[in-house]
Amino acid sequence: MKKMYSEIEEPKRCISEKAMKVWRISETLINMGILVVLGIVFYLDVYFEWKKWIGWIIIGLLGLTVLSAIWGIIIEPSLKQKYWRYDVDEEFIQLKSGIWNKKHQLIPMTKVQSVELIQGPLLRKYQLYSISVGTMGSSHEIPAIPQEEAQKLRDQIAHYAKIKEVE
Amino acid sequence: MMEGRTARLHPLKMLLDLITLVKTNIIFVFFLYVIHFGTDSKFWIALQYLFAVFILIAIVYIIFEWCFYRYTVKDEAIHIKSGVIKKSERVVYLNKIQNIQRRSTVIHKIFNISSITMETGESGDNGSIALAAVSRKEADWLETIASTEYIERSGEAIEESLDVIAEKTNDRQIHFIASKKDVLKASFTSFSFFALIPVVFSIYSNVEDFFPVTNKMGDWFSSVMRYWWMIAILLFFFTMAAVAYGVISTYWRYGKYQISSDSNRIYIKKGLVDEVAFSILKEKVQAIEVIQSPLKRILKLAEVKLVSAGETGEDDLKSNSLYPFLPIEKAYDIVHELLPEYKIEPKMTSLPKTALAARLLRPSYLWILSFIALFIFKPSLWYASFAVLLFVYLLRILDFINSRYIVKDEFIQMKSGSFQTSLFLTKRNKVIEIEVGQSRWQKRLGLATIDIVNRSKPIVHTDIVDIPYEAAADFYYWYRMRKKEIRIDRQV
Repeated sequence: MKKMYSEIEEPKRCISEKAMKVWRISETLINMGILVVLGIVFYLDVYFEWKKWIGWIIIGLLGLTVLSAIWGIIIEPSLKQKYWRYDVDEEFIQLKSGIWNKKHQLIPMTKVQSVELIQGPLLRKYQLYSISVGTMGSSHEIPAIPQEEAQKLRDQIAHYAKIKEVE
Repeated sequence: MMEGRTARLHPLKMLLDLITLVKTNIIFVFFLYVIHFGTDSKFWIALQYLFAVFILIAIVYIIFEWCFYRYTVKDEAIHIKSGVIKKSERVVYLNKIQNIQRRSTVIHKIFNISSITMETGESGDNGSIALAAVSRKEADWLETIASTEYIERSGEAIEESLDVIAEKTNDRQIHFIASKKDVLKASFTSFSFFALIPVVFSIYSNVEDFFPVTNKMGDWFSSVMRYWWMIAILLFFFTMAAVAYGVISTYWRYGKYQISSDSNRIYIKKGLVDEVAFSILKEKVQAIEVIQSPLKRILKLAEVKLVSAGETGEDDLKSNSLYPFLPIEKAYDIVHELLPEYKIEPKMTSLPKTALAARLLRPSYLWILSFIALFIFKPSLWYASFAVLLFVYLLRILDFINSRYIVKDEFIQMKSGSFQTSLFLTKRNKVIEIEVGQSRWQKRLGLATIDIVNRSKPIVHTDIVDIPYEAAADFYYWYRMRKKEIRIDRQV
């Protein structure tokens, strides 16, 4: 009976493809905000003739922001969406995510203490919800699920999680 | 549903509160009524009266607080009604109680009472019940009813267990009592004799505040230093004092250490004067942890902890540890006696050779940072960062050598650590969540990291890095089978 499993079977369900758009927009907004702030500081630096090294640091930060924007807006969203998987059954919530570091998580239903739907303005625009599952010591979030599916999933988790084990 | 049994705390609770009141206000009392005794200033007289009124109100409040504090044991729960002005009512279910702590200070002992705290491990107001003063007999009774094994019992079971206590105490088996030799060993392996040095310094600086002794000390010191035999005598006396202080302070803390158990519970008691006692239902033990510092490894000693989901006290009063200086063999024997189903497996699987490669190849951010920092601030010393790298590698290699794991039946056991090692043993149904992680590096080498989460306060993560991916997959499916051992709570 030893060595039955050579691989962990991935959960089946994917998150919405619209998640990519949501992440792209939010990343664009965040990075634009950072660029604006850095731009203002750079302008002040030139105008008031601050010390030389301050200028170099600002230019360095600008460069880093551009790189992280390229990663965060263009590359990351599609990969993140591609690798996100989850599944829910009577016994477990299974989560799988990660681009560089892949994570498989198993959360027993009996240990789920709360389940919550979360929707910010961007998610609302695309009629998506995030589901946050609270356990004894942590909370897990499944991002971007279409409205109807999300509500169904929440009810399902809430139903399964009613059963508690003796501790 | 049974009537229940309602009681107040022991009246001595009021005395204890009074003592705290006096203790916290002693400086004001001294200042107002001793230093400013018989003052003519209206301001001070007014303050004296005001303070007297405050004390009077505080005393009345203490009395009322005691009067309104009542606890009832009924329907498998403890109900507490309290509050003089703002009333509060709390309910804590008995089967949620994870462990029990009792403390008896000198005053408690004189009057044959003790304080008892029942921990549920949950956050918020209902997290624990602390009864500040109850008679010893009452405490014993509460301890028994609060930790009866989970069965769907009727109300009578509680009444019955009142009589059972006597019997239960009789079948209590003692597993370990710290002998004088054990305490001596403990005081030397914990380097307790160094503890005198900070004590001497703090006394010295306190004395210095009042009398300028430094000059005199200096003269005296230089006169002593002239003769080597005087130095020798001085050193000898200081060493003796340090050893004596170390042994006495260790004896104070670990003297009268006792581990015992009956059929469902484990009891740990310690402390020479102020006694701390801990008890836990065997089935509520979440995990066992064996911790060894390098010195303890050389001396073949170990500290064994019973991980509980509830609070286990602060620092020195941490009470969930079996005697921290047990010979390792003896420690394992005691664990086996206390919890026969937990067996510490001596033969574990070590990490594959590829794990060592993974550890050597993994970039060290600490090193990179120290390299950059040195390059900017002190470029001439750039090579010093390699000392950091060497140390990082030493830690990694030691951790590789010490890391072991085994998943057997319903148990999982993991060991890791560089200098100090920690071995963690738990059961599948006590693990509340798991994670299998794999980085790109690990994927290339066929490795993975597993992480388990157990209840404690706060929760504990235990992981083992770089085990073969197949073993991690096996572990994942092993955890999926946990249904076999869990029991469904029908109370909710």
